[in-house]
Amino acid sequence: MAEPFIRLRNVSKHYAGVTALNNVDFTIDQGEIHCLAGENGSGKSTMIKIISGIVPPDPGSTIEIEGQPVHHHHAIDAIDKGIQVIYQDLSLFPNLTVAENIALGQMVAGHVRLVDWKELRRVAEAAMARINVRLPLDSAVGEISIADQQLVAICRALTRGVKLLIMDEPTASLTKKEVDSLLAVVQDMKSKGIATMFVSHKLDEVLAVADRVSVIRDGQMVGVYNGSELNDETLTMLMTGRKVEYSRFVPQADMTAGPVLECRNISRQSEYEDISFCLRPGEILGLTGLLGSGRTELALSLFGVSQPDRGEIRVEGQPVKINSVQDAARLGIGYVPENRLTQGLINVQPVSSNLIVTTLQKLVNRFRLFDQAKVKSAISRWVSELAIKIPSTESPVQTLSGGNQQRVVLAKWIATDPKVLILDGPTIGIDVAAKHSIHEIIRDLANKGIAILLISEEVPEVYNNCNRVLVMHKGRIVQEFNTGACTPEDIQLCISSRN
Amino acid sequence: MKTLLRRHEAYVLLIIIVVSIIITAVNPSFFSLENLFDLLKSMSLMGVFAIGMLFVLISGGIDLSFTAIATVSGYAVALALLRYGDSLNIFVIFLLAGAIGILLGAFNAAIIYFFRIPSIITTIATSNVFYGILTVLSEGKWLYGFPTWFGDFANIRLFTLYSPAGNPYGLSIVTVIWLALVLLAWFILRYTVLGRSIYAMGGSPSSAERAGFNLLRLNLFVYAFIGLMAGFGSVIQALLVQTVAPNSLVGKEMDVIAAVVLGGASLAGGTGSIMGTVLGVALITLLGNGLTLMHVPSQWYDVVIGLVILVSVGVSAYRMRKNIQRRVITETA
Amino acid sequence: MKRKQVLVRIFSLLVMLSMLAACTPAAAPTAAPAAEQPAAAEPFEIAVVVKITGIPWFNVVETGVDRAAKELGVNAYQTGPAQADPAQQVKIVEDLIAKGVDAIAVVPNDAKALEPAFQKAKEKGIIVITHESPDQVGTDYDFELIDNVKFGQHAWDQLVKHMGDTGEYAIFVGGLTVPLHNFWADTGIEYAKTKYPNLKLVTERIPCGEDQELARQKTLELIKAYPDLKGIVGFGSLGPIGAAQALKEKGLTDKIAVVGTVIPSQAAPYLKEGSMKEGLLWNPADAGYGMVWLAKYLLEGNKITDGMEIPGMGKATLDGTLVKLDLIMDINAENAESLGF
Repeated sequence: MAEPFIRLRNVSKHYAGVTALNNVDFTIDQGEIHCLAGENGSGKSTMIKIISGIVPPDPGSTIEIEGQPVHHHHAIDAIDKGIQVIYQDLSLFPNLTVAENIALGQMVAGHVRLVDWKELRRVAEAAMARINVRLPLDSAVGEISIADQQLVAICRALTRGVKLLIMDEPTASLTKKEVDSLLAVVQDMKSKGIATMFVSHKLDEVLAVADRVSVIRDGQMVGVYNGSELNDETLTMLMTGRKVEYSRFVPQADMTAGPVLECRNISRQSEYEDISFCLRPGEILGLTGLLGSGRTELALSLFGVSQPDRGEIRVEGQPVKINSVQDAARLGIGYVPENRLTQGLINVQPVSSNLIVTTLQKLVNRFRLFDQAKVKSAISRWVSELAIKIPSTESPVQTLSGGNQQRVVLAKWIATDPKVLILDGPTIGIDVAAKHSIHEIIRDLANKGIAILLISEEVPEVYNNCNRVLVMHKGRIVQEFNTGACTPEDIQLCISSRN
Repeated sequence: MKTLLRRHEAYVLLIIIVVSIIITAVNPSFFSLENLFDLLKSMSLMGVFAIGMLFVLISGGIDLSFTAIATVSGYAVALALLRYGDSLNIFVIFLLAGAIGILLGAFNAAIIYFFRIPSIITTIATSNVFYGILTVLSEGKWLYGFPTWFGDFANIRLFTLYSPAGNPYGLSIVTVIWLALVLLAWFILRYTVLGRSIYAMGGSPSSAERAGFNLLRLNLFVYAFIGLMAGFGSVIQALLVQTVAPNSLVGKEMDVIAAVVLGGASLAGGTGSIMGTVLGVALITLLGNGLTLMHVPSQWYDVVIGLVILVSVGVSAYRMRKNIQRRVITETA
Repeated sequence: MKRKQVLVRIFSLLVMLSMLAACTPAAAPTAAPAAEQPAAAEPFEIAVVVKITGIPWFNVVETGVDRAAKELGVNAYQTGPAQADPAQQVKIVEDLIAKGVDAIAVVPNDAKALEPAFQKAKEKGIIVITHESPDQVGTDYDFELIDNVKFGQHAWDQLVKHMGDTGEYAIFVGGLTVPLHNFWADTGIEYAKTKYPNLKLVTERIPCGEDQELARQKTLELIKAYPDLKGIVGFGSLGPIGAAQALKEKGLTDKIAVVGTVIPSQAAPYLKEGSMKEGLLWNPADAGYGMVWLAKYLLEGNKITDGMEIPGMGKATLDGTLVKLDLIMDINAENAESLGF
């Protein structure tokens, strides 16, 4: 192991005056599992692009692969030298079969003209055999789980003679179990001399298998650490440059007050079964469980997107039927969806329009036309109240960072004066610092007497913010925890033991 | 997805069978070899266009200019026939029409690729350009009076049978040409890396780009291919009617797209099969034929055809949704 | 996509319409009364404005205009827009008015759009004649080569001549919304009720007269659906030809008779081989000649009267401002090639 597989020396990258990378030194050894950790905007993506040849580094930077300096490093050269990237979206073809996804790229690169279907299956099977996985070769990739899709992407990389596999945020949408099997595959590749570079800002699982962890912040390399020297907390501190307190917050809800929202034995065919709970003003109720445990489906029923087949929902003691989103909004139930990009915001519209879209009725004058003064004051109120950082209220929402987008969604719903706010995975995909401030907002809202249902698969998130936590599994509530009387580990154990 | 597609095709086939049974019940003369061969001949023109459209739809694009391309190449062919008539033969005619089609198709591809203009807008524009220039140059003149050999070629049958009434019928050369093109298209889509790459590009263009596919080449191929089919189609049209009029094809784009979509291709790209396309064309042709045979007044044709498209595409979309739902649920359970 | 289709349809409709003008009832140009008398030596200037220049139909009209110019000793010429565009046509008419021609004969793209221009022409004493626009407002006379009622009836007479007065027949029209075709069909059906009660129409009229391939297919289907079919009347110049093709293909040319509106030179081969029996139309050259003749006649200060004779074209009937001739032209194997269009 004399030569590292790849060595970056004094690598810098400036985009139109912005420094993305500043004199970075970085190495990955042959067969190493290496983590590159950093917040959003720290320069991680630029690193990937430079290593994979998509963007050239500034002059003066040097890159060596297997001891040989490379010049004019292009994407195709990088692939030839054995560098493959699996992006977060996996870049697969959902309409083609597993076998084709694995083998087609190799055929295109090899200028093969005719498809030999037997050969194609053989290539795919060989790739799967190398990492000891079995996937249904004839299924369309769009129909298999995300975890399996990831394996398809890895197999595809194997067919191209990969020596360094870069995986961008590989664990973001995987369940714990799936992460474990992914890591097993990575370790298997290591034993075959293939290096893996994980790029992430959420590293808990990955830390366990990493040989080394490089931390990058604001375009500078902070340092390289052994996986074993770091834990979540120290890593967060290195990435953010400050210590983030994980404070626990216990909402001061009046547990004797009448529930604002109550479910009595509601069920919906093959989604959730026999769900009962109540939610009081000022309370933050956690709802956790694995992906697919029915938690999102339940939330959608509370928000009128779907209707329970059986059971009863009560709002402030009155039985109600929530047949539409409009009904839910009228009853004072707000919903902030899990996928903020696709469900909560009109991306190309400016922040201002997104903020007022739920309260249009309140912003009109007596001619039923928009009262521009009311509109302006509503917008500026929410921008300042939720500390949304934007150059202008007219910037399209899609130009904002994840955390700010989340705030816009929150603002949109808080503006309706909800009695109940359902937050589904409010901090997915945003970095540690932004997460922290979102939590602050949630706590503020609870203090104002809003009842909050916080849905999250991150146990620390529900544990640190809720007074009670419900655990769902296969559509049922399997246990209720009082956070004052348990530890996060208890909750985690309850979830994983069911699996 | 594959099984789903197979299911979709089976579904179209089922509708064809049901419709056939209904028509036969009303008018038994529908269910005859004679009508079958006549139908096959009638399908050929739309069938050839549909092959080209299938490729474009799979690739994730759309081409609304193919009728204009066909009109241009048809016109060129007709002029050549009138001027050099007897010194030409059918191969030269197909070659000429195909070459013009490829050229105009490649022009579409270049604009779509280099200017990144959505294919629908590009081809609406180029359709008007192609067609407009032709109208100006041709002054709308109809061309007819082609050499006899051209008329005779159109009447070739591979074999001739006679109906009880004594009407001759058989497998027309036009149908044979169409079926040959169907086979070619099936081979390209199924057994060439190019064909699979078209599916890949349609499924996810960004993935295709990252995986190192040459998108320019793929686009060029796809649009040149539909141009080629448009060129061949124009010859078939000329063979069938022995007249070339600048306005005889424009406006038929929607029928062709409807047939291909009916056959399971998605406007979103990435799906579709030759089998489905042939069935889609068959169903649309069958409906027109059957309605006359069932003595349905002509005012109802469009209504019935529209409803059948709506129902079959609707049912298949519904089933796909059901399927996805079931999948989510099984994963959950 | 929809919009595109609409655009294309509109576009092709325009083109079709202009060609249809060919198959539509011939209209006659109107002559406007002479304005001021030009200097004795100077011939009258008569401008004929057609829907669209350069298409075959109006090229034939132009031959009539040219013949009239020569024979009648007037300065008559044809002009018109490059596309069948009402606005462009109005502009051309206005320019001619400004130029101070003696008479303007127009084949309108849009009757209404021309009204103001015609008003202006009248104010300047220019004679206005229209053709194929029987309800035109603002014209001095509208000139029609055929009577549409007679035309429809004549088609049925032709049909009966070739299929006999007993049996099943079908009708092709260009479209269910093409007014003229459907008017002819209505007239003919009505006429057959009393005159030929043993004719039986097998199905509603089929809209395939402007699509040869479709007409061919529909004919094949009709043969199977109605085995006793004996005749087809086709309006729209491609319907009869498509039908004739189908019959030829099936060797049924002796069993089923096809008649209808056709362009003579295109129909010639079918008429000769007998797959089509006879066609009917009018001669566009007559329209050109007639318009100019009428204009000159009026410029010379003459009055139009009912029953007056137009040289070489027969007696005209006068109905308000409508000057009507009866110039239905039979097209058959003998004359199809010699008609010149």
